[in-house]
Amino acid sequence: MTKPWRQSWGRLDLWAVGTVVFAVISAVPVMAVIYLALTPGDNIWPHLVSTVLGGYIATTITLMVGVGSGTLVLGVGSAWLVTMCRFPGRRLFEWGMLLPMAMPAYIVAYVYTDILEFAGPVQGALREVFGWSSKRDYWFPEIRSLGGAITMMTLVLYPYVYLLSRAAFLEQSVGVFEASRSLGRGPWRSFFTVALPLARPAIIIGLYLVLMETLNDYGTVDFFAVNTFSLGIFDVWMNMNNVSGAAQLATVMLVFVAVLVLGERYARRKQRFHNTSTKMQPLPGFPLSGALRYLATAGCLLPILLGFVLPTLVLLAYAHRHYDAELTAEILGHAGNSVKLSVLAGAIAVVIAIVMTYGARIKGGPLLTAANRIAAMGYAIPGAVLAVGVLVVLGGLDNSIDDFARRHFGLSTGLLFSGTIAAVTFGYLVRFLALSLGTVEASLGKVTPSMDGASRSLGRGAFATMRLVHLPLIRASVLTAVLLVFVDCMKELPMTVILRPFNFQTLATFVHQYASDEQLGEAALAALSIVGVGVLPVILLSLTIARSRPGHGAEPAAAQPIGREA
Amino acid sequence: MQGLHMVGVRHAYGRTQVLNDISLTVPAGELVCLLGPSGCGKTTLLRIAAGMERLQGGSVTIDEQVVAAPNVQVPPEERQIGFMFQDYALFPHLSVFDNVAFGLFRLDQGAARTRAMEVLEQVGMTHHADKHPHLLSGGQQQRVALARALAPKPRLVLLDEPFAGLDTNMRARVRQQTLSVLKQTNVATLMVTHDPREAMFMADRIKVMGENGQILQSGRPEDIYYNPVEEYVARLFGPMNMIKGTVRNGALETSFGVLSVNGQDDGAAVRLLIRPEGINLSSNGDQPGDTPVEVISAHLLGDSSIVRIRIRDGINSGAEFQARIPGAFDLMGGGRTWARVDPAHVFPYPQEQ
Amino acid sequence: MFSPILKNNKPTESFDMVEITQSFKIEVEAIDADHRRLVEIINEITDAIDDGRAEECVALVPNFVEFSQQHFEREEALLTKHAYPLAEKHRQHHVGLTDKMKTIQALSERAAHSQPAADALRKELVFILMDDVINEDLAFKSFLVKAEAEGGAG
Ligand SMILES: Nc1ncnc2c1ncn2[C@@H]1O[C@H](COP(=O)(O)OP(=O)(O)OP(=O)(O)O)[C@@H](O)[C@H]1O
Ligand SMILES: [Fe+2]
Ligand SMILES: [Fe+2]
Ligand SMILES: [Mg+2]
Repeated sequence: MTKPWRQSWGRLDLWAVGTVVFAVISAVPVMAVIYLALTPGDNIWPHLVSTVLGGYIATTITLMVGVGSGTLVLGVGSAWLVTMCRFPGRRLFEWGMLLPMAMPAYIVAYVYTDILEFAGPVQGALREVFGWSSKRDYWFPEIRSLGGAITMMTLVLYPYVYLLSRAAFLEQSVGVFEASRSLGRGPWRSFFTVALPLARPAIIIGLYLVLMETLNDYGTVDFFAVNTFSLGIFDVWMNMNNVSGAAQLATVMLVFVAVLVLGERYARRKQRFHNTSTKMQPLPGFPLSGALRYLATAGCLLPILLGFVLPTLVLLAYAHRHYDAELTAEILGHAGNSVKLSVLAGAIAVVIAIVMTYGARIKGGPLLTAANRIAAMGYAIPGAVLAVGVLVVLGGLDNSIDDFARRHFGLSTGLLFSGTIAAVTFGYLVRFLALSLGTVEASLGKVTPSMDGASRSLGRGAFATMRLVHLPLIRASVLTAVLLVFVDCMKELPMTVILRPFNFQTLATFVHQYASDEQLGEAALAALSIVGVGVLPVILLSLTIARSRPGHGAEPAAAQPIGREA
Repeated sequence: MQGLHMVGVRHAYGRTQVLNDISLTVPAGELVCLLGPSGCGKTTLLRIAAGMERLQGGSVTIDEQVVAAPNVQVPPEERQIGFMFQDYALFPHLSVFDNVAFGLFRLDQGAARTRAMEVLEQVGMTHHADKHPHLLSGGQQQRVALARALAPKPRLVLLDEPFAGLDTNMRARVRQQTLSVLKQTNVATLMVTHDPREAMFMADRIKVMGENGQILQSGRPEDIYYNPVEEYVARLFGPMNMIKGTVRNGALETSFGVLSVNGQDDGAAVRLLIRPEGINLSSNGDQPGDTPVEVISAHLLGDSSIVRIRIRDGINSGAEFQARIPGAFDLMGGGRTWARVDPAHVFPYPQEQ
Repeated sequence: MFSPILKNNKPTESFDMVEITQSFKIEVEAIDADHRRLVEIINEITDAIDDGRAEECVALVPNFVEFSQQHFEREEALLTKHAYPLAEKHRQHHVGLTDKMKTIQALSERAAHSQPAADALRKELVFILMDDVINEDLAFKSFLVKAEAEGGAG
């Protein structure tokens, strides 16, 4: 009966080791960037400071302030209207407001430039009507400008603010708002003194996501020649051929990121105090009068039209007009590349996410929690910065392997990783791991720990428990996690441009290249494909919204712990 | 010895010491109840016994196999225990049958099937074998959880507040069934509860835990109820009446006569705790110790009543007490009422300075 | 793999109800010997109950009460001799068992006529010995083992 005494706990350490290793690997590129910035080979830092740095900082801050305010007004305003008021089309807008999320900023930028530039149809029509003949005869806003970039990004990024404000209004503000009104405060005063302050932490998180995306953008600013940090890094890297300089710019950019991250942490810390009632109240649905109704409808409709419908229609028209069998075959090839890369990254990311979250779950402790946090940091790092880091790390690795092989076997291995699909995938993984981690973590968190205990005490080990209990319970979220990473990889531009193999195109790089050459028509089909893929998570979110609507059933039973009574 | 043996178990979460030298023995076939207030570490102790929490100090032995000691940590899956969780933790994606058969993977399919049906039979759930847990009532889920825990014939069963999720009527019934299934199985059982009446009903031995993570008293339900060693243990069973005073000649003089304070020195300041059920009311006052009282109010609880009374004479004149009497109290009768104290329900403790 | 622990409710004659296994040993021979003797007495009582000789309990239980009393005194003396810091607390614990000894004596008187009393007696004897007497002694195990070893050397 008696078994030998044994120390069997040690076996679980595999999970812990895996978790820590993944965290370290995902932190290496950023570490490399900072290290390189501090120990530059060919130091052009003084030169950068005296010439371009000030401009980069000013432009980046202006861009962030502009996009930030624009998305705040659009996002919070539409969320408030949709949650609190009754007007025609409200149900439709609940999820319709999310549609522009499917559009990468660079694609709307290409489309609007095409329409609004001097040779485009709008100015052409104006000249026709008013009889102007040259640029001197009239004033028309220059789309390829900082203002243009702000507008483009605002149009596609406001849904982040919308999504989080809406949730906050639903969860917290509705009840108190009514209370405030019943105490005699008018709707406007109630909005500004009660509802908005309560929702502020959530709104700040939405704003944080917007600003991260703004920092990350490369396609738009490149096309508009708006000199932000992303563009600067590319310039120093590609044109000045100076790695250390790029790393130094990247490090300054990381300071921006750090400020944003800390700001968001601060907001979230406050959120804890507010998040008292999670019970859904019925919506007040406060009917708008006469003209106001249509104003509200128009206000919600316009961002959707400009941010999604119009660009899509234009792309459709172009795709139709420029249809060409040969080009289409080429695009199909690029699409294949995109899909392969994105599926690969999505699948690996979800496996890593499962290992890391489950490792932290069964082993616990501050180390593994920290490991998960670190691995999720990649999402905050702009693509251009990560790309530099990945190149430096893989380049260093290639060189050491090559050295080693030469010394010991007398042969050169050349570049094993740099400029391969592996490099691109690695970049994607570091940047988008947070998406799968967050999804898997949230879903695994809903499985009560007693499920683990039940399975383990019934004789199943950690791995069998994951296979037989956790995976079946979180299946839907695992698919969601794969999908989210997949979609973001399909849209990704800056890392792909730097890290891709020679002559290797994805849909995004193809669109970027053709649009930069003013050949949007030829790229329309590829752009449409990206938008089509981008619609998938919007649908997913819409379903969640439909489910979370008051009076609607809760989540599917699969992810829910068993209740006491059926 | 067959069963569970825990010696000197200590546990801390960060800097908070939750368990302080807990030792206990559960022989095979016996049911021991850990009774203690919320947050005193009962669940932690069960989790240590199950191997879900890493042992920090002491040792755990199951059927003579050391499963946890410094340098020994047998993982839960190798301990052969049955753990029943407060939320039952039934696997929602598996049918009742598959839940019960979950731990029978070492048997071949036929044997597993027979065994699973056998335990389902034992808890009266064979009809529901193909259903999924969310279609079952709370009581049915509880029985499935019990069957699942017992199916692999564990050496030890751990129950964490197994009836907390049930309503009062269901609870009494399920408690009875669970007890008889466990007794049939003749397995060592350690159960956790913060309901003293539940512990009294189920347990062969109760171990009362205090907030300091120590065991305050161990004994049969009768010992805990009639010989509480500490005021804290005495108060577990509900609100108490209290008389303060100074000991003279080894006793305390009260309106209810001279009450013994065995063990307290003369001149010591003591408090006597008297259970409401230890105050008897009568309408003739012809027994020794009867003291006349004024009835303030009566509250019918169903099978018994709480009567609030005020003493009219003697040293405690004017003091208010609560008596618990069987059935209803006839307020309308209007006659006089006397109260008398049953010494078995009187517990003397020193007054803290 | 899983050994069935299902067994008859009543142990067979050859089966001792309790025994001192490894985890219950104090590793100080004088004390372990006493504890073994207490186990023997208990097994005599449980055998009597199981063989339908419950009337013998009245005579047997006082053996247990008396021997445990003697054991307590020997144990307390040993603890005092080695200046165990919590010796007084342990003595109090022994004193606290007086009521339980009364309980088992009362149960032994009724055991002959009442099966529930006999069952309760058997149960309580095991608990008193294994959970109250020996388990509490394990608290001074490491102290005493060390003290005895040093005492033996010096
Ligand atoms: N994982 C943990 N980390 C930190 N503290 C914990 C953890 N688990 C429990 N605690 C704390 O340890 C103490 C004991 O917890 P435990 O769950 O064992 O109590 P309990 O007696 O089961 O309480 P209850 O009756 O409420 O279930 C509590 O104060 C609790 O807050
Ligand atoms: Fe002893
Ligand atoms: Fe002792
Ligand atoms: Mg608990």
